[in-house]
Amino acid sequence: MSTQSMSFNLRVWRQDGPQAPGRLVDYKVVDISPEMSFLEMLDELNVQLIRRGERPVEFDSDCREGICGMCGLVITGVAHGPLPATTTCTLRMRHFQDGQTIEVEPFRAAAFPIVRDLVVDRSALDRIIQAGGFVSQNAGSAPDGNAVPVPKDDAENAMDAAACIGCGACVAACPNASAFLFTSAKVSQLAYLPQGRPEARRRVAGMVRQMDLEGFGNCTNHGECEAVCPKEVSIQHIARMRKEYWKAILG
Amino acid sequence: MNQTYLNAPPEESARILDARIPPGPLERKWTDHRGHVPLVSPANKRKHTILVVGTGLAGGAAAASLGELGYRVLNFCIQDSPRRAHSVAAQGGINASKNYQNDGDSDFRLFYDTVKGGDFRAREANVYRLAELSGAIIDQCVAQGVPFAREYGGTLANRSFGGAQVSRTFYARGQTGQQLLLGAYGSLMRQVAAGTVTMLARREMLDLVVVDGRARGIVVRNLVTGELETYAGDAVLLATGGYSTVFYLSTNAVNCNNSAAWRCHKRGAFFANPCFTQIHPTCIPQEAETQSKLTLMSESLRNDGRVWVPAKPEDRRSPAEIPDPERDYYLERIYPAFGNLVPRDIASRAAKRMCDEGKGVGSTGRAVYLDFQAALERLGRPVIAERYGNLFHMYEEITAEDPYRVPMRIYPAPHYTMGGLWVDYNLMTTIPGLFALGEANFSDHGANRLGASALMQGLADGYFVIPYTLGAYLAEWRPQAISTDHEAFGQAVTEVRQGIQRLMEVGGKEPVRDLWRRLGHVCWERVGMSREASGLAKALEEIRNLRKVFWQDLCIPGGQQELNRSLEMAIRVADYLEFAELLAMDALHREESCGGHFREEYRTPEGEALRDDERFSYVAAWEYTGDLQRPRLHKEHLTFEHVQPGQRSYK
Amino acid sequence: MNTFVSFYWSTVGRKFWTALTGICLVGFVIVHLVGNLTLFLGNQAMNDYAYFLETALHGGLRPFGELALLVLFGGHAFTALSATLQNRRGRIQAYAVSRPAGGRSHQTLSSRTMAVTGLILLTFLVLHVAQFRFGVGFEWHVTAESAGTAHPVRDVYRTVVEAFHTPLWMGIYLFVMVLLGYHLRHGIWSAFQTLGTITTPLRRTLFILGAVLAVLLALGFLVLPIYVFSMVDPAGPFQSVPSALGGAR
Repeated sequence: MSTQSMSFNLRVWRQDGPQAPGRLVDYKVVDISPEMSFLEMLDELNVQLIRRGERPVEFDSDCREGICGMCGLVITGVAHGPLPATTTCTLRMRHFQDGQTIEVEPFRAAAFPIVRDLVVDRSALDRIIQAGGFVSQNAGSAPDGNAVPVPKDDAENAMDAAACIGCGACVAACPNASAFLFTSAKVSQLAYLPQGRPEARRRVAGMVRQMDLEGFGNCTNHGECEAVCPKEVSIQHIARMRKEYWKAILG
Repeated sequence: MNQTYLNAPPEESARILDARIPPGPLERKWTDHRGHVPLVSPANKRKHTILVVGTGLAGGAAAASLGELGYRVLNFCIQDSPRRAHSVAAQGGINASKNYQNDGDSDFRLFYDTVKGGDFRAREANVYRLAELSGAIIDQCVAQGVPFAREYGGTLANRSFGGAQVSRTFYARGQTGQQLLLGAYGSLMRQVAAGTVTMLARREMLDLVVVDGRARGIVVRNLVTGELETYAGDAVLLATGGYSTVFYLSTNAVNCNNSAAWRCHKRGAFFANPCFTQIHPTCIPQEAETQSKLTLMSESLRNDGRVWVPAKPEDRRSPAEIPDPERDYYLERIYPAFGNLVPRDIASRAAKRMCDEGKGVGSTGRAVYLDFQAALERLGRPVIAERYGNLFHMYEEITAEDPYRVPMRIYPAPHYTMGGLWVDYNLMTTIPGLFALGEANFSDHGANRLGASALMQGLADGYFVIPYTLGAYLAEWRPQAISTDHEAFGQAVTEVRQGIQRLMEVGGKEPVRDLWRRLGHVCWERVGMSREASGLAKALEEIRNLRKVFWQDLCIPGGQQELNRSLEMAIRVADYLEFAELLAMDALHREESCGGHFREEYRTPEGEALRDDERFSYVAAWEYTGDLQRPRLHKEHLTFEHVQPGQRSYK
Repeated sequence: MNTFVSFYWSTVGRKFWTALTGICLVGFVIVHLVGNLTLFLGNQAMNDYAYFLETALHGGLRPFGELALLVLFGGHAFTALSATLQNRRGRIQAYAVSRPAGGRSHQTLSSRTMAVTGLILLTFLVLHVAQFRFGVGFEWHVTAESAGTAHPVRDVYRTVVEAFHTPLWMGIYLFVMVLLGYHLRHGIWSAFQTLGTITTPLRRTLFILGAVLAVLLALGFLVLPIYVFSMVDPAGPFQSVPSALGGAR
């Protein structure tokens, strides 16, 4: 139960549209209980704003349990906030100091244009998947599930990569706004599985090409992406994607 | 407002609802049906435009499969990407009658378990088809690259899940829904790249366009620009999920809503069994009034966790201080055969009963313990961590308590809705050309859904049922092309625009979130886990009052022609205020207890649900007759040829 | 050819070549350091080493080596800089507040300043080559024993001693060698990661090994000028004669 009440000095990015100028606006939010999630705190800010007759802050969120990947804010300079392995929606306010100043910005990348306030357009990630992030498998034509055995370790490694929720925090955190971790997670997942091998070359070539076309930066191995990834997807998959790529093109 | 009809018995229609179940023996129905329905020739498929609303397991699978067949598909979702549909949050697994474990599973057994689990309120033929298709779903998903859990030999791993005595649940850690959804999403993206599917994200369906009695288009609001857009096609597939968020707090995503289905209902689609709502037993209890959602802890936890409360009421000691003899492991005590693995409705109600008796724990007294001490001692921490590590982490993050040391506190929460748009065997609603798939329809789970069955149904509908039944509909009808210039589209847009205008003009002071919370509170208290006639009558009154308050006090800042979450939410809540009446009314009319619908007046001496097969062995399908008008009840009588309805016993 | 070009210009490709050339250059730097260690052995040893480099493979090693190094350095700098420019376009509007997440991140001052340290190293390289390869700014001496032969060899040892007794040069060298360490601190590990050779258990080790190697290389190069500055008499004796007396330049 809420035993104490916290207040925060928020500095929130407000921007009316993709072309409009944006700026950080100061808000004081009060009556916040420590077990509230960061987004519930923003909900509360919005209630307070609406009651004052002001326009609420727009941000994306859906499942609020850290799996859909829709939410994502840069909080005090870190994508998804200061706690590792956490999404914005599962970050609790008890991890902040009462009275703390908290900067809230959208995920920034040239490939993620701002829609409004903290809402960004991440459709570039969908287009990367369209360029090959799948197995070409029509419904109805699959062999029995146990027809091809998959070594347990391979299945586990594939699952580690498949845990990606597509939130784009890797892009937001990367000093270069690179989408390598996102792209490599899918490449690596399907590279580990026998079902993904037949298309492996086409897949990695297509996805890297699309990633480059979308205007993401290059990967210079800072590893910031892994540090902010709510699912702790490893940059090992980036290494694997690179290997797959040069094998595909030069091999 | 006219309140006279609220408490009177419903007006009943004489028309018999025809579910169009194919003839023949149960196990041959689907195969024979598939073999006999007319087909659309490959060359003609691309001439048909199909509108698919929703990109979850049902919608995503349907859009991808229809794209593969060559139809022109327009696929809509409210999120920024189809990969975010709430199917993504399903944790536990997906059932299939593969019998890989050699433990006696079969299509019939899965069928039987599902009908029984649904408390004999589901349609036999549909459920059998679901069981029959379950294996093909696993095959399809494996081939897509879904990283299911494996044994060391490389074969697929299984586990048992609530309410089943065989191990038939396939899983991918605690993220099965996510992985299955991403499989479908991959197939969908492939079709987008191939040009057969056009993806229209950040769009919310706000009306159905019916021309000459058939569904021919939809009106959507572009959530970024606020524009009302119209799309025409030869059929509309609704895969928009359930209505658990009528309770405000639920395990569903905050954008889940019932507006698309409700507006189809208002255009003539019957709404079936709205009172069949599922309250999931293992959720993290509500802590604060301002909470925006409840978080599910997978049912799989009950495989190794033991549920208990203090044996004495009002025992305020910490769990560690309560010695074993003074604990009541009530599920093991009351249901020795199934113990902690009883179906969800049973487990939820038992938890509520314990809390009502004053044995609840935690600061609110509305929680029971789920204890892993015995399992930790038996299996060791590494095994438990491997099985449930991510769930334990999630729990600790939310509650700041370590479940390895302190028992989890859990309490039931709204999770899934078995009710939905009425559909026939072909998944078509009462509006020709409008199909409902997945949770949006009512068809397969009766009055209670078993764990790991929702994923199965969504994918079965999307991958393997709709491709056939939709083709049959189109082949029989041979539609003429239609454009959005047709007057019906303009009329629908005008009506939607007026509705939005009315909301914008209310000019009150209340944020819509607060009003929604109030509606949820009424529904949870009176139409939640247990219901009784007087409470339901009160609920109807309170919902009406709240509706008045809503239309006086609502405040929507900002404009229509832009991204405006307050407006989006207001539209959904306005629809919920209408729908909630139907929900309560259905619950009031069903004078029996079955599955997730529990009426205090109808229970066995031991307190279990008491069905009334004589009077209520039917699907209640409600017809919309106008705002504030008494809805008309249509009955689809259920016949059981292969399963004998009996008292559901898990003792 | 087309695939090669598209590979080269892809994000993965650019980093691939940067890494490949980088690793070769690290190899070169190691060899260079080992060769320089002859300085500790004195006048004769170092000039013998220089003579060996000049004349090995019938005099073919030097031009071949120089060409290879030109390609490596040029290629490395070009691809890395083009990638850096590409990265700058990745984010048009900067964050108002941004800080490293820590934890599993490999982000360091080193990783953030690769382009800067690289450019300084490149500038230094030009000076360095001018100084020691071509002897610009120094009086030209040839070793005594080669004086008057058909292959007069420059007295590199003497040039080194003279250079490292100039405080300005000394300062520049010390500063740049620290930067070299910084550059390699991220560069070595990063190259292996970029070539796709790193699996998780190996990664932490390589990350640390890379840093250790970087420090060792930097230290090695730092010790030399300090040694010369403090231990070697700038007045000689040297076993060389001015080139005017010895032979052709």
